[in-house]
Parts: sequence; C-alpha cells; structure tokens
Amino acid sequence: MNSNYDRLGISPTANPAEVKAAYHAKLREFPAHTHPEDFKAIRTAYEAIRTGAASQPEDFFKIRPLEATIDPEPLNQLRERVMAQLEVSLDDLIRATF
Amino acid sequence: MSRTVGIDLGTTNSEVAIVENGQARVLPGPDGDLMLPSCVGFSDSGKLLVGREALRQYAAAPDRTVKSIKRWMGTDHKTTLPIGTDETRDYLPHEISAIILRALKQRAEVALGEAVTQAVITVPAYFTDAQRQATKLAGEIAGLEVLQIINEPTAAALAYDVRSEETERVLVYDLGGGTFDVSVVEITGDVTEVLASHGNNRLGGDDFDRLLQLHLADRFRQTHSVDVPTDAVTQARLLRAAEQVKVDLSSHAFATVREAFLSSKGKTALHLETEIARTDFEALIRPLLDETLEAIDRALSDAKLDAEDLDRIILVGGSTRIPLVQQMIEEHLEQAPTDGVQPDLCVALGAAIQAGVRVGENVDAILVDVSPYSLGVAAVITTPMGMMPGFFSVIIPRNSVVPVSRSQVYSTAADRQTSVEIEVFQGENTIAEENVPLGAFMVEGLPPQPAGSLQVEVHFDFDINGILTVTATEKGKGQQGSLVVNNAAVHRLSSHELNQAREDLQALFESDETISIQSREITDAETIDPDLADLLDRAQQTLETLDEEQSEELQTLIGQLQTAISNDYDLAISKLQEELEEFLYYVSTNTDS
Repeated sequence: MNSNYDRLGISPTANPAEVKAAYHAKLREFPAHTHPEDFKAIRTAYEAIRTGAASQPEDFFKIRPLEATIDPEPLNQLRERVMAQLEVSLDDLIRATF
Repeated sequence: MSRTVGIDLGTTNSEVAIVENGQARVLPGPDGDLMLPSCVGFSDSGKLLVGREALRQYAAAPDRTVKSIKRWMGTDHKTTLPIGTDETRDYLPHEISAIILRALKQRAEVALGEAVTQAVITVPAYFTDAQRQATKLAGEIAGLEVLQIINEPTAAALAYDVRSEETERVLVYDLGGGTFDVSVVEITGDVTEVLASHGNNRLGGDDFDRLLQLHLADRFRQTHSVDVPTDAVTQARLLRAAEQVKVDLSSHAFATVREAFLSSKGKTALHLETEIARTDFEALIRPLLDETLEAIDRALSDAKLDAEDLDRIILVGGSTRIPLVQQMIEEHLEQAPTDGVQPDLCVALGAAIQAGVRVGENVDAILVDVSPYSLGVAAVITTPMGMMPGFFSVIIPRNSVVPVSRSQVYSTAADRQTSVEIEVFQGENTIAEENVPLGAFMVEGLPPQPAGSLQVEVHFDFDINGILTVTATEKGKGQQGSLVVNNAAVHRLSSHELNQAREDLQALFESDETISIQSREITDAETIDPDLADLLDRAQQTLETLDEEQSEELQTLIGQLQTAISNDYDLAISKLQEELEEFLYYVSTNTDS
C-alpha cells in the first residue's frame, strides 16, 4: 500500500514539495535512457501519489466492464447515424406508399 | 577519440552543435556560417551542392535543387535529380536528409579536427513514428550512430538556461519553416519536464511563402491581365520574391517587389512591380496563426494549467520573427514573450546538451518528455443500441511520459470466437479508422467459449525512441501474438543495404570535395562586393586574437552576415555590416588600450 512512497524513498506523510524533490532525485539516479524500467516505476509511483490515488491491491485484480468507458461523443455520432438512416427509410416509406 | 554532436535538422536551416567544458556552442562552417540551409542540389556539371550554394541556384535551376525536404520525411515521395549530364536518380526524403546530415558531420569534423560518429538529432514534437524513423535512418546513412531522437521544443527548453531551484513553467512556441509545435514545460533546476505537447507537422513559414506567392501571382494578373507562367523557373522566382517580401515585412510596414521579365504579351516584356503592405500579409496568414493559438489552448489544458500559470514564453524558429506572431501570442496569453532566446540556434544547442548527457560529459540536465499522440487499438463496444465495431480504445493517452508501458484487458465479442485481430492506431479520433494505422496482427487458437468470457490482455510498450511494441496475451491458455511497430512507412534497410547507402553517399562527397571548395571561392569573389569581402577578411583575422566569449559573438555576426549575403537580404546586409564594423572597432580599441 505504501509501495509508491517506498519507491520514491519517502514517508506517506511527505508534502507535495518533498514528493517532487524525491521524484527529481530518483530521476537523477535512474535516467530514462539508461534505466527505462526503473524510470517507468518511478514515474508510475509519482503519478499515483500526485493524483492521490495510491494503487490499492484489490484494484489490481478488478475486471472493469467495457461499458463503463463509453464516451458520450461516439454515442452521439451513433445516434446521428441511426437518425439519418431513419429519415431515409421514412422517405422510402412515403415513396412506397404513394 | 570521436565526438558526439547535437543536430537540428530543420526544414529551412540546419545546425550542428557540441558541448565542451559544460558549454554548448554551434559549430561554424568553413566560411563562419552557423546555419546550413537545408538545401541540396547538383550543379549543371553534376556536382553535389549542399547548403548556401544549392540555395543560390534554386531560383535558376529548381529542377536540380531540392529544399524543405523535411516536409516529406516518412513518405515515399521521390525527388528526381540529375546526377550526370544525362543521368538522373530518384531520391527518397531520408536520402536527401542524409546528404544534409553528412554535410553537417563534415562541418563538425573540420571545425573540431576530430571524427564525429554519434549524434542526437531533433525532430518536431508532433512528428509521427514514421517521420522519426526516417530521420533516424537518414542519420545512419550519413554515418552517424543516432543516440536519441529528441523533440525540438524540448531541446529549446533544455538550452534555455533558467536553472533556478524555483520551478518555472514555460511555454515553448516553435514555428519553423515547415512545422509547428507548442510544448508546456516545467523547469526545476536541472530537471526539464514536458507536461504536454501539441502541434501541426505541416504548418510553417513555407505555407506563408506559398500564400504570398499566390498573392503576388494575383497582383500580376490584375496588372497585366495575364497569368504568371506556370513553369518551374518562373514559379521559383516568384517564390523567392515571396520569401524576400516576408522577411522584409518583419522589419518594415511595406515591401517592394520587382521581378523583371516574368512573362510577355506579344513582344512586350511583363514585369511584376508592386508593393505589399504588412497588413496584406497579415490578413493572409492570420487564419493559420489562429490554428496555432488553438494548439496552445489544448496544450495548456492537457497540462492542466491556465495562461496565467505560465512564468515565461519562449519563441523558437525563424517564423516567430513575424511581428503578428508575437502580437497574437502576447494578446492571447496576456504576457510578452521572453527576449534573448536565439530562435535559430537554441534547438541545436539543446540537442548538444542531451548528446553531452548521453556520453557522460559534465552537463547536468535531466529530461522527461512525452508522446503527443494517443496510442490504442480498434475495439467493439457495447452500446444500448447493440455492438458497434471500430471504436478507438486508447491504451496510452496523449502526453504520457515516455518511456511508458500500459495494458488493457478486452473480452471476446462473439460466441465461440477463436481469433482476435489487434489493429493498432495513433491519433485522437474516436473512430479507429480515422487515425493513423500503425499495424495489425492476429491472435489465433483461442478456446471456443461464450462471448465475453475470454479475456485478452493487450500490452503496449513505448520506448524512449518512439518504438512501440504491442503484445496480446489470452489470459487463460496464454496464446500470444506481438508486433513491433518500427519504420511504419520507411522500409527497413538490411545492414548490407545500409552500408551500400553509406558508401554511395561517401563517394558522392569525395568526388566533389575539391570542386565544391573551388567553386565556393569563385562564387564568393563574384558575388560579394570588395568592401564586404575585406570586412569579412578582417573579421576572420580578428577572430584569432579574441577571447572565447568575444570570438563567439564575432563568429555569430560573421555567420549572420554571410547568411544575409547568400540570401541577398540587402537590408540585413547593411545592418549587419554596420554592426560588424562597430564590433571590430570596439575590440581593436579595447585591445590597444
């Protein structure tokens, strides 16, 4: 649970300035071009602490349903497309009727 | 010992720089010029010309000259150039770039008196995968080991020396000859961290020239009721005139164009003689600049910052000399850009700093950069209206710090589905097909099961050089498929082909070495007026007697003057001539005393 803080070598009570200073110190130690894996782990830990969402062990196994990630935008596009089709079929209907 | 340099391979000009004793400096050519025009051509006798000489013949021989090749990087666009009296050769964009890089390598080797074998090369932040790979390949053909490809605005930020322990938030606005980038950067001491980048890899000074060229053609038509001939030479002359107008309008409210004998009507020769107001030019380019302001807003919002959070605005690239650019940015962000940044040189200086970091020179710089594009796969989504295929499911969101690894788990969409196709895209559109396809592969042999019960984990690994490796794994039985997205559009060279390309290029340079030096002397004597030549001679001699700081200053002045001469920028010449005279007078009086 505290692994993100451990990764940066700080205590969970560290303030944002301390977090950043620790992050910068770790970057000096593990530059992206020589230690890509360490760099990624440091970055992940830093981002997690910064967003306040330190990763919980149970999150790791949670399976997220795809429906949860639908944006309104594709839905709108979809709706427009369906509407366009509906209008066309209405035209056809009128043509077929008269 | 061989050396490692930083290279800014620009659309219009390129530079090579190095870090020595912790200080970055741009290396001058044999003539003192710091910038090498990114122009390649062959003389009428089939000799290779690179830089100023190639640019000089552009208006007279556009069919034997190529410029702005950077716009075509990563495509299979072919440039046909005559290499002998009746022989031609098709060049791919990265092959032309390799010639420019080879010339820069040579320039550095002459300046340093040592072999140069490794380089960090910059590209626009918004360059795609294919464009980056083409740049890397060009470096390899030029005989350079490319240690890293870094982003131009990031390099500019590296070169920008704040180095206070207080965090500064800087917006880098980079408008060059062919590309536009904006990056929001946070600098704390020696750590330079990019928060967000956005841009347009087909927007720059070349577009402004093109708009002015069309405008000049309109003026000509209005005056003479005849169209400007469409042949390459006339159009090249018109384009050159347009470039000149653009440059003049950066320092004057009006610019005069005189191009004699552009066309004829019966026996009468028709000339283009007109005056362009700065406001005319501004009206032409304003819509394009509006786009750059939108890009600023998006970069800021991606960085989760507001305009007032910015401590500084840095302008990079030759096109930022246009007064309207500065004015629009200042109005939009309610803050004036910072003075004292060298817009033409800071990218090369930053590349040299990163090169220094890579080879363990005594430079403290830590770089954290992002990928400006989102990366993901095409997926089926379930909607209230049923299953919809072809949506873009993002795995690595734009502006993620690189290197980065991310995974996403997907479920099968159909009952008894035994294979899945993983199609990889780069872009921001929610419809997968609207983005740039990077490749696709199949994972087969899945156990037949009901829809949704089988899970496939797609893992993206994006490395520091922008190479993406995609792995898909079926979670139960462990069926796997993978793809390395590398050189999407540029075909990969085998080591044999690479050696061949290197040797060809080497031969091209060797056969022309002596001749190009001779021709340079001849043309210089012909085109430079004796006063200027004398002044340049005196400047070169003075160079040896100065300390490092002053000699660098003088070197820059000489370089600028030579660029002005080679481009026939009369106004700039007289201004720089004066400046150089003054400088020489100043140092001579100070040494005597």
